[in-house]
Amino acid sequence: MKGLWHLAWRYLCFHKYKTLVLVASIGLIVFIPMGLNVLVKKGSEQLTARAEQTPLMLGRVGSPLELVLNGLYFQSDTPPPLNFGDYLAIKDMDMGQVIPLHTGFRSRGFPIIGTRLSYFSFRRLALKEGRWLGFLGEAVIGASVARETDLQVGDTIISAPETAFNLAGAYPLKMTIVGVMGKTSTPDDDAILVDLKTSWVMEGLGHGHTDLSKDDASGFILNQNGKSITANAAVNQFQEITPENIGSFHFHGNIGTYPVHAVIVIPKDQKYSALLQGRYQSHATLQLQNPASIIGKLLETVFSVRQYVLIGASLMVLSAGAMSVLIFMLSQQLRAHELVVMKKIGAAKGFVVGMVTCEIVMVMVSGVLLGMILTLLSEKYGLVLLQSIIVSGV
Amino acid sequence: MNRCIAMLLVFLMGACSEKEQETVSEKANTNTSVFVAVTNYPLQYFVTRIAGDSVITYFPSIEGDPAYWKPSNNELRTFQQADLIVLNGASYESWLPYVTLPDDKMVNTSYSFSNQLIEEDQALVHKHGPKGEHEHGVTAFTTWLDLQQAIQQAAAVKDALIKVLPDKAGLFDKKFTTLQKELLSLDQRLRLIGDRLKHTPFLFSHPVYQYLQRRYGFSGHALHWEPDIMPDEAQWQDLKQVNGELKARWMIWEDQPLTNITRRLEALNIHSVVFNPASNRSENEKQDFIAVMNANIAKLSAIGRNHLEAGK
Repeated sequence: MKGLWHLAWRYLCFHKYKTLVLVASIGLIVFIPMGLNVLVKKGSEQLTARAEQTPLMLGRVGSPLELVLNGLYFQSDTPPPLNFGDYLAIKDMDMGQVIPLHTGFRSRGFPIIGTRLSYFSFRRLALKEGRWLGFLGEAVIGASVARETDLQVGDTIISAPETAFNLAGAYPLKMTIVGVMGKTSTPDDDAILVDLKTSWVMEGLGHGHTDLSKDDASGFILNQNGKSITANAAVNQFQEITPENIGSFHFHGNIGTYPVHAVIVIPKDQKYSALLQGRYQSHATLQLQNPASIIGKLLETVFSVRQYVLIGASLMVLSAGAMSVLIFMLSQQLRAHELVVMKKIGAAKGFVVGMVTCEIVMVMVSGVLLGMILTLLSEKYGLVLLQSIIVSGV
Repeated sequence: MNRCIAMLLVFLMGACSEKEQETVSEKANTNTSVFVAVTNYPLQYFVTRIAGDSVITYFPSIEGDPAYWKPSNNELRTFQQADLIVLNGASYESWLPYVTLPDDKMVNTSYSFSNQLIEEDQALVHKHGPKGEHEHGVTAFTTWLDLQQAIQQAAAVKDALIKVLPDKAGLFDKKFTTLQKELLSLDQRLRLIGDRLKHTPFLFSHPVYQYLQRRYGFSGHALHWEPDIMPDEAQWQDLKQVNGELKARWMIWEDQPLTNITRRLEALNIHSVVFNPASNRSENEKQDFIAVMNANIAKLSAIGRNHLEAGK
């Protein structure tokens, strides 16, 4: 018996390229359906995990999917903004924690997220270096942003307006990076996080400029009537917030009308969740969505597509399996002369059949093992792969 | 009978040990405990009076008026780590628009009377750029000098503390009631003095007494004089011009002015009296908020008496 395995092993080693091709083919036949299943499962887990961690999301009436995708993954088009007053109203209800998100700006292709400190604790984000946001004009960047841009603590990053045509109010703002977050394998890795007020400065709602009441500002003044000063367009507005000019930054008008693109709502319990959903159910201008439910519906569509993909993959596996059988049969025909020689030098018929069977078993077992290893690898590292493929695709 | 007495003793011992345990756990909680950051001395006083040792209060070491304080990186980080950030509101914290603080931990103690805040005349309106005219409003911020407002601020402090430490609601309510009584007593005394001095014009060294004036009826004119800086001649001329019409015999200061200032004022028949707004800790540790207010009231009371005697 030992001789059978030895001869089979020697044969496979002698024809190593043919053996490797066969093992790889069988490995892929095993891996394709299993790996696909694992990747899709991981992908859906990835999508639903963040949605499930986010109980409710408040936004302006419009596409629920756009609101949720933007609020969770900072992708898709920026949804229409709600007023900061709407955020204050739901906060005053005292039914849970609320976190505003402003997602209207980007820098070097990465989304700039204006939010509050509570966002960091809610998403359990940790710093790799530096510190959290402290002052206006500071930014904390995700791990991928740091890796891809080579930016680090102390460097600066400049915002770009969301549209090139928004010349009226959106000024590029130079922000100082004060912290780099650790890797989370979530969209936060690709985000530049700033204080909500910093986003409003980018919107042009707040700014710092030369003190118009001082003598050296006389060149900027068109008209002064009592306490009313009209400055000309040349008034020097600061595009970088520094310790020297930070005190001059101020905001105009009613803060309640300032824009926020989404509000994460974490109700105290199920009762408050139901109450809140009831209050916003037929609201004229606002929608309160359950992100898990919205993403669930999206995944239902993805899963129906997956069925077709799996059917296609199964057909491919069947044909590949048939090809492998054919290869084994043809291989035996090619070896007919060799087998005849073995019989002539005294090998019993059963011995020859046994040896061929051993060869097939060794190739099959190796192929299945390879397929399983690939599946395990995709389970472990597929998440990272999906992060870059699926999320950026969304 | 003996059995009954023994049972009663066991019951009492049990009760005692439970009480002791409570005290121990209270102390343990104190050590771990809730960290409250405040932005001026009256708020620190209210927190300490209401919560006592149940919380650790952080009021940064500030020289001068805390209204003009700007937090350093470290001070801001300490505020960010607080379980509760107690703010005066009414634009008192001028640094608030440009710092990042956890808004779910902040409490604006003047929120309940925000529609009664006084907007100052020297607000600067300017317009430029696409957004048009806007105003850099100046809100009077020494809100606690109206003791009724101080009570509302203390109530906001108490409510915020109860939210953080709901188990101690009873204790906090009780301590607040005591504080409220003391503040009410100050308020009533000031009202009496205000009634007595309602026709007496005053000069105020700084525009920080707006709520005191409104609530208690003190009328007068506010200057921008510092107690430790001798005013220049232009400021003296302004004073003479203003007082030509006002005819004030008393000038109220935040702190004891320099002797040469008081002498020159005396020469103009203007007497100096200190009404300390107690924005910051007193250098004398024994002088708490109530003690400072009592001293202020005593000084105003003396003016009232002089006024009455002069009237006779």
